[in-house]
Amino acid sequence: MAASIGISFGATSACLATQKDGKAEVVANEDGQRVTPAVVAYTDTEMVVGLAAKQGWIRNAANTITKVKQLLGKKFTDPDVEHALKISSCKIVEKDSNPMYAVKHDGKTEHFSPAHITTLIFRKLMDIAQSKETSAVKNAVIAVPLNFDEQQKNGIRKAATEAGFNVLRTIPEPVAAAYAHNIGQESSKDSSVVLVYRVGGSSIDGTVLAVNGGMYSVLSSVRRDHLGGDQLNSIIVDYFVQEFQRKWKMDVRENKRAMAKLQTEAEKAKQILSTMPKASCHVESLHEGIDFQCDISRARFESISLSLLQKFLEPIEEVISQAQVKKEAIKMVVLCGGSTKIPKLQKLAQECVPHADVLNSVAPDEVIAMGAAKQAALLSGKGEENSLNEAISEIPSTARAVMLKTVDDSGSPVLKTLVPAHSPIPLHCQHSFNVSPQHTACCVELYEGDQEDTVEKAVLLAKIVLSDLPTGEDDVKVVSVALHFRREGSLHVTCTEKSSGQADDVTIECATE
Amino acid sequence: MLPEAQEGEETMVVARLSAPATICVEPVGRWFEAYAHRYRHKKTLSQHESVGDSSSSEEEDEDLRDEDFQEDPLLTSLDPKDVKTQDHYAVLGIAKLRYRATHAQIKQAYKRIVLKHHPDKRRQAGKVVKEGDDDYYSCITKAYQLLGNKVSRRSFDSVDPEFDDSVPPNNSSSKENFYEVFGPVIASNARWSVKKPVPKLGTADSTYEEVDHFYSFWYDFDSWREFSYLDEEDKEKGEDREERRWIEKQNKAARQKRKKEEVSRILKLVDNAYACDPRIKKFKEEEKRKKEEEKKAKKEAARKIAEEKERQRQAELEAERKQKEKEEEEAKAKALVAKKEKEAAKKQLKKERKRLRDVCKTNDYYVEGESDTVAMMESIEKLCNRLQIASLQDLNTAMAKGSREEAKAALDKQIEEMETDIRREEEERIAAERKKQQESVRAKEKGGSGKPWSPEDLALLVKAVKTFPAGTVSRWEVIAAFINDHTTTDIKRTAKEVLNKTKTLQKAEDSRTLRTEVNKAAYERLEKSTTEAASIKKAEDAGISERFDDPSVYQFRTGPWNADEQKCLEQALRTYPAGTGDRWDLIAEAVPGRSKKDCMVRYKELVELVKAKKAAQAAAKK
Repeated sequence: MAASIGISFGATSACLATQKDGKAEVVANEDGQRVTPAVVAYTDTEMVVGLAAKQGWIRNAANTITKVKQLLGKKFTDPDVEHALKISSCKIVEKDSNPMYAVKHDGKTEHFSPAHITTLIFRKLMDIAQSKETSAVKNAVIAVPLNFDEQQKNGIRKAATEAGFNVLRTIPEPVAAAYAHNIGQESSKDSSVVLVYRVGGSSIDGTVLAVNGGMYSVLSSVRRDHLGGDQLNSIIVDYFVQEFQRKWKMDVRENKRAMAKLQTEAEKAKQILSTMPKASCHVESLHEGIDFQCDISRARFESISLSLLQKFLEPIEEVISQAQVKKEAIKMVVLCGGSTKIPKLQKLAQECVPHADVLNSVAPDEVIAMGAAKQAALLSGKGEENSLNEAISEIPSTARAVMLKTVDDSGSPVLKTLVPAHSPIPLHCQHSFNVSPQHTACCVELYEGDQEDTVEKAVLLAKIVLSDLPTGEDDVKVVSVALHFRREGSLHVTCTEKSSGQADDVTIECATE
Repeated sequence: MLPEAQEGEETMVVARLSAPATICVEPVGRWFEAYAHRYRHKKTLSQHESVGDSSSSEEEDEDLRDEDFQEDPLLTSLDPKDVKTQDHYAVLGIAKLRYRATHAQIKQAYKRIVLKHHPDKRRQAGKVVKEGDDDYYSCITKAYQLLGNKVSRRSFDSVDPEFDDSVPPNNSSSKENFYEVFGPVIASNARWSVKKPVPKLGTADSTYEEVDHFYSFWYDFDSWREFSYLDEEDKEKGEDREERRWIEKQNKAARQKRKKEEVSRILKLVDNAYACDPRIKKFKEEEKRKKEEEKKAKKEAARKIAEEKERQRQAELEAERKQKEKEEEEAKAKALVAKKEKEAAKKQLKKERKRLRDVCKTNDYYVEGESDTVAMMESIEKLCNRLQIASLQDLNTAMAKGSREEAKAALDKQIEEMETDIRREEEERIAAERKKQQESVRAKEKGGSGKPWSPEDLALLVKAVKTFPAGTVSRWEVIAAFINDHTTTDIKRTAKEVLNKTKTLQKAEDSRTLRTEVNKAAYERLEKSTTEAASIKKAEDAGISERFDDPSVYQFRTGPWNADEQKCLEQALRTYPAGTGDRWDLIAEAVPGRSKKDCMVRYKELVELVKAKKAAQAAAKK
């Protein structure tokens, strides 16, 4: 049995998960860490990937490649590449209008394409996967950002295939996150709207998903590039620098090495503050032989980063307004990305969408990989059909909700939704309703309209009358209403009274466009 | 709670459903997979079964509940002894679903029936239960055993008692109602196919491809139907190996026989269908028609092409004819015009002549005396004949204009001119005759060689003869080479030719006439040269011509230069060597009677002569 693996490949870090006994689990790397930095470093003698490369960044910045995902499948003229040129510690050159990393390796300058670097990272992930699993074949599902185009997806696929993975499918990150929480998967009758909020190292995105009939469809998506956890690090670094200046009256900004050290410490401190009320930073011989020691409390961190965090939340408002849904309609918020672990951010997000449950039961930095792993397990062993299924993206659905008129105890009519709007068809469903024992005839009235419509507002589709029902006191009369939406859009309704076997059916044709 | 129906209300459809909308879904989750699977395999929701899918089993539940379950009389009437002949589907209460029932449905049906009919349950309900295997319950377990196993279920399905094995006959009624007769039969037989999906019979509107696919599929029908269920004896009943083998053999033979029958049945079905199919007939006819049409079209095209060609040819001919006619007409018209003009000119001429004569006559021919008058009349007559119309006219006008004297002068002048003309013509005629004569003579002289000797060539010849005196090795070849090298004409001469010519020239010394002729031909201006001495003396005038008068006296290149002048020149050249300033001026001074230019030209000639001599000698040596 080939192992099925879900991969979340981020700009900053990658995460690997696999499904075992019906449960997705993160595969930790050889250092015991659950996420692996997506960093590749070249030294005079070797090439290192992952944590070792990241740790060597202080010494070997010029030959350390980070954020390769931002360049994958892009032309040199792309604005993202321009931005990367500014921030990258490694030299990026143009070659055949594609960006290439120029690094010193084995004493000479070598050029590597982003695709090559991606492959190296995937090889690392493959090593991690193989250290835990015995099977050689690795069926993988890779989560990619929603805005990835075909070329970028192909780039990822190719890199992963080269590293030895059998790529079953690429799925969007927000959907993977929602799937990891099993949203809408229990029953095909559920329908809900979910917000997936991701704060990554260098990008933030918010996505509103509609879940209908167990299927996810994206209503809107907002993405902010060059904003994320890295900015938080800078804020902490600034704080450290100020502290140092206050204590020693010295500016360390000019000292690149010192800044690099502080950067690493700041990241650590940030992570610690998500769980602990206080983090301490200790750097020996930071600047001119002075040891630097500084504590930062969560409250302090929150106060200095508040404006940035509020900025982080902007995409939430934006994406909800773009999706054209009411805020109250959003039932769940799925958090993903390491930075969403920050308690303050979670709190702010909750305030932003007060009616929704903020889901963080699955670790936000692992949730995408978990979802991908679940999908991989679902697909494993299904053969070539998988790749075909990816092509299906548009499916027919009901345009409006189908409702049934019922009466409450007081006798006033109430509409009950049988099939919500945007349910994928063909569709089968069945509902049972009680009939008052005194009535000998009942009327099943079907309406079409929007979810909150009243009887007056909705459109009456059909009436089905069941008469001559038995009137025995002891018999509980139950009418089952079976709805069958056919592929072409027509609806067949069958009503059956169970005790007497009285039945009737109608077919409602759909309007042609 | 459902509302109560009001009096008079009835089942009705009031409005149409909105058209379905399209949503974009992400390829994630089991519901998506289930949908995609259905989509790929063109399955409907009710056919689709997803194992462990709670809601779909719920749906099946509903399906089964819909079945009538009032089969207790059937169940109770079951006899375990006839278990082989019972309808197992009916026993489990899924008689309607039959072969379409999924495994899950069978299982479910069985479970439900067990709850009701298990001996323990019945005992609880206080019903009578027979002991052991006699109870009808064993029939239920048997049915489930059979249907629960894929292989045994298949063998039972193969001999489904509900299945109609009949094949519609190939007769007129099935031809008329082809789709009604064969459609359901084909559809029911389709279930035996190993390959799925099985093409349907289609309708009258089916395309040729569809029909073709249908028949090629059905003629190649691969059935999974097998007849092990009908085995007379169970293999397992055999007491020993041999017996079991025997039974097996028997069964196998029987199965094969049945299978064969089945295959021939399907074949017959398809054959009959093919024979009755109105579409096949239609297609055949269509094909025939098409072929005919094609043939027709081809013929038509060929005919058209021929017609076109013919038409073109006709047009060409017509054009040609027209052209000819036109040309002829034009020529005719031209001829007519020319004739008219000619006539007019003649008339004019006549008129003018008459005028002249009249003028002369009125003026008494401008002379006195009878004889003069006659002479004048003759002259005038001649004038009239000779003069062109224009000049005649001029004359007339001139004569008419002036006085008598003037007119006479003009007339005299005209007559004089005419006389000179006549004389000149006469001279020319004589000259031409003489020339002709000369030519014939020369032609005779040259014999067959045919290559004429131009004066330059003759000069060359003389020079060569002088340069290479008798005794030179292969003298004539050298001379021929020299001439060929220096001639300006393209004619190449052989040694023999040169020899002949030299001989002729030498002979010519004896024949004065001939020599004169030769000289005339070469140099017309030397008509009067007579003797050799005179020619030497008159060297200045005679020039090169004297050379063939006597090649032997030809010492130096003389040309227009005489020996003294030559000597002076040579002396001067020596006195003033190359490089002297104003050399040629000084030389010219030293040579009396010669200009500077003359000297230069002469010098150049000499240089060339020396060079030519050397080259000829070199060529001869080779």
